[in-house]
Amino acid sequence: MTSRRRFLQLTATALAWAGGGRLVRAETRHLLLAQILPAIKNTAAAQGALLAAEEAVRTAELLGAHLELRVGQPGDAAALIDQGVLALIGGLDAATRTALAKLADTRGVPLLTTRAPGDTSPDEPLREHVFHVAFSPRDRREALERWKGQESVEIVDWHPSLKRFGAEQLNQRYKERFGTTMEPLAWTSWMAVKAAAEAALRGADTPADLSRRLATMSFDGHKGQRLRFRPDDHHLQQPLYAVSGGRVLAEISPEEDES
Amino acid sequence: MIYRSVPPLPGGCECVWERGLGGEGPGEAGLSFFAFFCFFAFILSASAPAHAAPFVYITNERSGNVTVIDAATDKPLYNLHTGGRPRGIQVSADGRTVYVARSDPQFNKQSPLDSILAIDVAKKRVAAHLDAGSDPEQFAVSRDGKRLYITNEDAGTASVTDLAQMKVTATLVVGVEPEGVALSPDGRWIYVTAETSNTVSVIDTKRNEVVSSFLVDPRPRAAAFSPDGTRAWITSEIGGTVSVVDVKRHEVIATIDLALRAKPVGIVVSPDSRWVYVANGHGDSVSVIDAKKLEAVNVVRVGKRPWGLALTPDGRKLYTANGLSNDVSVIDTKTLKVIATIPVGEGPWGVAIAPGAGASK
Repeated sequence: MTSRRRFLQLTATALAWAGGGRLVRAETRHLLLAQILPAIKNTAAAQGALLAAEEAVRTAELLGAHLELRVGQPGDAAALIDQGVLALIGGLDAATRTALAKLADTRGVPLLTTRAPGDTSPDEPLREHVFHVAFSPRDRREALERWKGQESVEIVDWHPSLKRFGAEQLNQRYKERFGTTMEPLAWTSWMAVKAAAEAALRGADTPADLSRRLATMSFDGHKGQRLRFRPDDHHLQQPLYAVSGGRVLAEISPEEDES
Repeated sequence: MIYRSVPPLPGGCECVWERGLGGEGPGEAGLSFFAFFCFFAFILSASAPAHAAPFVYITNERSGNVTVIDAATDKPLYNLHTGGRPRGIQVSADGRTVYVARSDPQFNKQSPLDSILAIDVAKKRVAAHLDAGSDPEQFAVSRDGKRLYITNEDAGTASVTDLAQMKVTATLVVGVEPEGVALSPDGRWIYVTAETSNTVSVIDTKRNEVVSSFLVDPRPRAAAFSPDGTRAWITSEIGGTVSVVDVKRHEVIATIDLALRAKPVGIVVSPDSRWVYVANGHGDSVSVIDAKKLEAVNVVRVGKRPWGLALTPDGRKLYTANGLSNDVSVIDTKTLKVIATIPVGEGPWGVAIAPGAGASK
């Protein structure tokens, strides 16, 4: 702990030198993200985002940056953009999603959307600054086609029983932090904040730059393959899971893109 | 020092060499001649396989043991029981002690099984259980043999274990889900990768502090330094890349793309710093990187799901632990052909090779 404090002191001091005569950091970057939550509390969405934010804050500290996740209601979105947020995360219901998407494109600020479970409303048209972490109705259809098409199974983004590819570690971290299992909406919220934070930590200094990075970067979501936002609809291309009776029956993976 | 016993080395020359240095040999006047003789004999022994200390150690994470392989014949000799889930493995500089990171097969925050086992090679038994923090996975042994640097995956820390005191003397905050550990050839820097934060943290071993961190591609796993000390190489499993780091500045200077779906994990650099070998976990192969051109120039098929790999000190043979086929592939690094496939325990994970092991031909 001593060393961590010491390291932070070093980074806070504008011109600190570390061992070997290397410059640690000339200035501290302040990276601001915001999550838009509905007035009625959604615990999974808030917790998933919080876990990712806490992990990103730790990463930022290591890199000599400062990262903050602010939380507001849909009516606060414009004000949060005025405060200089690099990205918005939210849009659990279709109406809010549409409103936030329009705002995002008008103001040129990236929006990463998630969906409440059971939301089967059709997708928004492709927008430059809007990225969808939760799977779309099209993804669900394709997943069902690939997996025998049994309508009785449920298609999910995530399941608390997943173990491979570091999923067990993530499920365990979540459970230890909040005392509940990581459900799909918690994962999509976690993934949305993680993606936004990674794009910011890798150098995005403006919202427009962050949008460009989201469109081209690949991410690790503890699903065993690299995840990207598809160019044609900005939906996250990702493995999904067929679930029945609380058990994962199959992982349904898209083929990874070349390059 | 915890271990005093001298292993019964076959062949004798290195043993004589050690006795000579230990003061039981000829007097001072005769020492230079004796040393010269021994050096000459040592050179000869390098080409005579039966005289090298020929052990390759494999951790088997599912069967809870270590398989010992004769590097001269590439035959398994015997298994050492560890229990639990053994993964990271290192041999001390003198070759007498094999350290094994053991954790609980069940996912636990802290378990009595979590420790680093110090195995006395000569006695073929566990000589000590070392305090290692929770869920130890990978680690490095300091050049002077006095300390271990260990990653604790779920705690998000790196622990420093003092071998004389046999306890953790420092706990350093690194990235989220720390994994790989590598020590620079001069002993000064420890690189710790972290899977979730995509970071590499740099520990200054003089001060036992994290002095710098930098980002690499998604899900960094293992790190390795070039023996000449100029470069470090870091695999990113999900990124499918190897990051090339300038060790002077602790900065990524290039990123090498591997084949899609390769999922690179373990990595090792040849003694002449010319070639870098990468285990492609899901590719069932090893990629060979030309360290000058900074590109992958060859792919060698091995067993299923290779994870750890290690080279003989002369760089002639490469051993890969193949987690799903329960065997070890041995690659001749000149011909890039698999020259032996050795059955080991269940879930082979890590490879460590004793300092004296040489090529069989």
